[in-house]
Amino acid sequence: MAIEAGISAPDFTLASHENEPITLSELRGNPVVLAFHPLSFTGG
Amino acid sequence: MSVDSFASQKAFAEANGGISFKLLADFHPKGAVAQAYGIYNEDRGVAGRSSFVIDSSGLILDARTYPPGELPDPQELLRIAKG
Repeated sequence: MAIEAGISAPDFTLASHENEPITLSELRGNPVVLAFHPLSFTGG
Repeated sequence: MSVDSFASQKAFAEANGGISFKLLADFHPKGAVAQAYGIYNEDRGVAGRSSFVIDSSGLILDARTYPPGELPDPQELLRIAKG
């Protein structure tokens, strides 16, 4: 079940495609759009 | 983001002529962030196609999942993000 609007976004740190760590909570002060897709190179 | 490794993400970014946003690798432990957001597909071992708009204080403003064949509308998501 996907989490819903109104709650605090779960924090994470992940490597970007440039291999730099990105921490969600460090982006506070700016809006963020997260988009999940199944796999790269799979169309769409 | 996806469960691909950063190397795979890098190749994907380059194949698309360079991108202006970050592609994140939810690779190890695989799909951990997808699981935290409740959109991990255990059967296939990948994230379900979905989007989350987060406001500047860290609250989720908008959460959507997309059935196969349907894609997010980036302009609409950016509109929501900008308020």
